[in-house]
Amino acid sequence: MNSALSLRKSRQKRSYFIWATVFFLFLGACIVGLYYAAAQIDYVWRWYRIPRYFYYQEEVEIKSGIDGEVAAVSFDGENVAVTVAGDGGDETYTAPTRNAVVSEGDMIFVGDTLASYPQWRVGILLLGLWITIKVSIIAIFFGILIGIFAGLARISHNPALKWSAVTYIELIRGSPLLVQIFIWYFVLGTLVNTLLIKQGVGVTIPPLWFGVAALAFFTGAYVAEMVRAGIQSIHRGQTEAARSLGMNYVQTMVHIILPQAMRRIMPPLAGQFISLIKDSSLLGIIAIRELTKATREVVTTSLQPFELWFVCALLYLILTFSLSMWVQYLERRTLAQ
Amino acid sequence: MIDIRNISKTFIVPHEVRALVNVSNTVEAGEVVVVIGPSGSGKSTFIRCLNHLEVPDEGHIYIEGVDILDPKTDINMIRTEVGMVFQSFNLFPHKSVLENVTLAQRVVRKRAKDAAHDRAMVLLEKVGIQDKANVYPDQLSGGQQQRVAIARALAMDPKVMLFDEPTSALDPEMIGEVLDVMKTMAKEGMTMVVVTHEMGFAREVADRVIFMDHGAIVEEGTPEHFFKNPNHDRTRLFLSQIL
Repeated sequence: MNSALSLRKSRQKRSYFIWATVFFLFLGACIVGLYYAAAQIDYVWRWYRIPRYFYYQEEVEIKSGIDGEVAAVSFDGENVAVTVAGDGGDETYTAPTRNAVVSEGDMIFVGDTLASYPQWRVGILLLGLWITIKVSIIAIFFGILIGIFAGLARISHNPALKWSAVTYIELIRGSPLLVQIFIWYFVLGTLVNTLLIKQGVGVTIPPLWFGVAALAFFTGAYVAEMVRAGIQSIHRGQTEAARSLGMNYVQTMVHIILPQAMRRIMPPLAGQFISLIKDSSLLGIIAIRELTKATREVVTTSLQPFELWFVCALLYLILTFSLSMWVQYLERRTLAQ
Repeated sequence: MIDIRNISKTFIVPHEVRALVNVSNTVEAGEVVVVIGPSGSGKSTFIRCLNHLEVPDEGHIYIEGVDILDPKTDINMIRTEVGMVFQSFNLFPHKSVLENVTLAQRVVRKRAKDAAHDRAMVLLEKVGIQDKANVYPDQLSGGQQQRVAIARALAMDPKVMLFDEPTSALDPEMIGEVLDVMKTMAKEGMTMVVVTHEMGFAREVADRVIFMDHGAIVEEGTPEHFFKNPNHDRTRLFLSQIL
């Protein structure tokens, strides 16, 4: 009896390891296959070129603004000061370097380099990543707000509120996000900005905000349906208990119903926000230089598409994975309570 | 204190159910009224009408002279004066016991934090759960939860307390602890309307017993009269079935 049991256990264990090995072999085969195929078309992998698109060193050149002669080159610790004597007086240029490329007595024309020093700059991919994060966070914030209001309107008995919410939700859920982004930018954006100019306001709204609006309203419609379902899943007795204590509708919603509903819809909400981060890659088409647009630009200049698109995908994965980890942590914390 | 005049209520779910038919009654201050009757007799609808959780189709309900069915009446003000305890407790699961009792004091009565806390602790001690103030409702037994619910309602300092089958969802051994709290309240002179199946409680505590059937009041009177020699056959039948 006992030996039969241990035999079965060891068999289970063995088959587990066999299938785990199959998985890793499969994964390895995919990677090897990819490299082999790339080798067939003579693709040269240059991973070492990738970091410069995150962070790079730029040589900053200090240039002369006037014609004249170098009157003095003086060093002060790690700084250099170059004084140029021109017709209209002296000009002094300082740079945080000991590397002056001119010496006293040199003839200088406007635009000549006096000194240069290296400086670290944020690369285009990191800038794009930042725009993606920024757009996503703003859109998630407004998406939640819009979703809560639309969800409450959706279950309201007031026909004006209810029908507005239904129309909004159906319109948004029934059309592609790409088309919505075009409408926000090319239709609403043109209208708003042209009107602003005609009114003589002098400022126009940059494309980023139309992109954020498109994402926020898109997400809001889905959040609204989740909020509606969440609220309806809370037992009627909760509302009755709160109302019987004299709380009004808003107090009941804010203190009793929404906290419970939001906790319950946290997992689908997280899924929606992960979608939003990925959908923000569409914003490149209206000239917002988020991560995908930035990658596309780098690909056209660097001609390293394989590495760059993998890096781009990995960056999105990092964003979505950290979001889902964070939500899981929040869920565990509220459950522990 | 509560004056109920000719209220009627019909539900349409999915066919017509006449839950209340022309019901009138008066509850005096300090009185303990127990409403009994078979299920579906309209007693729950009746008590829920008293704090506007159900709205009668016809009739008037006056609480301290204010018509609560008048659309101009601020119903939230009325509800602070009328506490309610439910069959399924309906504690707020995302709030601790203490927060359950302080929330409405803070939000509705606008009491200061300390005042609300002190009042809550007095009431929790009164219902015997002061040492569970910081746990969450799902860690309490049914009887304890219902006692917290009573404390929560009392925290608003209501003039009337409504009990809608407060012990029906409890295990038998926990019914006593809830009834004891209710008895204490009755002795202290609280005006109470209680829908219950606990005949012992009715006999011992009630000033008046109302028997309802098919949405109407069939018979009412002192427990003495009610349990010893009721007038109506329907009442006798009901009592013979449950006693």
